[in-house]
Amino acid sequence: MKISILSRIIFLLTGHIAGYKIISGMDNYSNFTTAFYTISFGLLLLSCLLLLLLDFEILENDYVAIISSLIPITLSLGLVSDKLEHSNSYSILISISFIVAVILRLSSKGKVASLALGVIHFISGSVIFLLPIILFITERADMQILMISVGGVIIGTGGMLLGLLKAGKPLISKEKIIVVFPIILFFTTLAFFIGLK
Amino acid sequence: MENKSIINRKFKLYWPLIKSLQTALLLVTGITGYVSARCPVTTWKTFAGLTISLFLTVSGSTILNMWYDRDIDARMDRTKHRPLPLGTLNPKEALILGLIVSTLGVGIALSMSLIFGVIIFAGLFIDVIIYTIWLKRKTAWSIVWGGISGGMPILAGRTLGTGEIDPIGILFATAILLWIPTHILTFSIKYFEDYKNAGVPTFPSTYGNHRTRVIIAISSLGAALAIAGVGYGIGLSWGYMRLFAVLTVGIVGLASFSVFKPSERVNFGLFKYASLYMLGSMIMVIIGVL
Repeated sequence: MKISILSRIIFLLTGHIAGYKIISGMDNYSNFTTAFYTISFGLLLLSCLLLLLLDFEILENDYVAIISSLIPITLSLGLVSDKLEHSNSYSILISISFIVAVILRLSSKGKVASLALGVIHFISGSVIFLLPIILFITERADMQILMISVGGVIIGTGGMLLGLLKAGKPLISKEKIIVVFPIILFFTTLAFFIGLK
Repeated sequence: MENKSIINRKFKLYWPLIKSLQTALLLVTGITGYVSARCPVTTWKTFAGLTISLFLTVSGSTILNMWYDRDIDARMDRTKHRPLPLGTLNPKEALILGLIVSTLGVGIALSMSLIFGVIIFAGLFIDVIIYTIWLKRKTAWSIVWGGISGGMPILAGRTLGTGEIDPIGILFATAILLWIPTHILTFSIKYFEDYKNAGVPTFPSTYGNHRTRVIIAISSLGAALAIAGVGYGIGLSWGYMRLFAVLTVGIVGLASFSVFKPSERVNFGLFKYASLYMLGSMIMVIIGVL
């Protein structure tokens, strides 16, 4: 299915926001945090570019599920290493889980492989959603950090819609998903951008 | 009124001869090379001279290519609608136009700076004589010379800014040389039958698609490393280097993907990404040094 001009414009805008964040929005972070945020925003940027060039068919590729899981993983790793003093345990846990999920995914296409990636999404998604709320409630961060939680909810919704579509139990039709997907990607990137400012 | 309509008609006839997108991309590389030098004495005259001479020389060489290759173009579906194979433009007229435009371009370049003019002339000579007339119909390796001539605008721009041929200029030209296989070889995979019908040897027809894709992946990586070297050499901020790294992951990833999971869509996606990648890199260098 062809991408509409409006969707193309939205992808371009999203790519620019992600690119701007990578260029000039990471001056005060440690090296690890910068690397993690660069990967997550970089993947958002590359997603936009590849969708622009290869259309929505790219979403049906098997590797997309693995690579796209790196967005929440690296964002959560960046958040944890930026905001928490003891981040090693989480980093090790999520890294090992990701490697196991990738091996399972590449070696079989069964439910176990999908479940492993699902667990990773759940853990990293929970960190993205809950950590900013906890930081705000405990007055360790400004209110704008809540935008990261908002971004997490939006991208989680997008991921769920795509996952259900791929599983053959679509919540809304493929045509509608294709219309809303660029908007989801745009608001996710914008929310992460504002939340990390 | 009648003169105006003749000019309009001629312009419409001549414009497809210069491959506007390719010319624009090469023009951007030349401007990038110049701006990267952070020349302290930049005047609008120098900048206009650089732009006009590059535009004329690149356009002139493209017109001369089209003139010489009109028989090949007539045998390829992709190119048979161009003005020369279609017969809407007289070959002699195209040849004269190409020679005038090229001479003007090189003349302006030489009047600005001898070394700048020599590099511009070298680009024209390599493209028209060595690549198009001598090697294109004989060997698939002719694209190396196409790549060298493609690297001349950026080297010329850089040299005009610095006053000498420096390692950064050479690295810039190397980046273009290594990027060109990604651009041309993905194209020759897509239009395999066209090139075969025209009897033009290409990497896919000589070495097969798989080896060609491996070469594309390796040259993409080489181009990325060369541009990274340029970025470091001219002191781009880490922010730009990070964005550059992200875009590089995209091109190397797509190139590798096309080796292991080849498909028409990925191949053409890589072709389009390669153009975007080069344009993006040039814009990053320009913004990064300003």
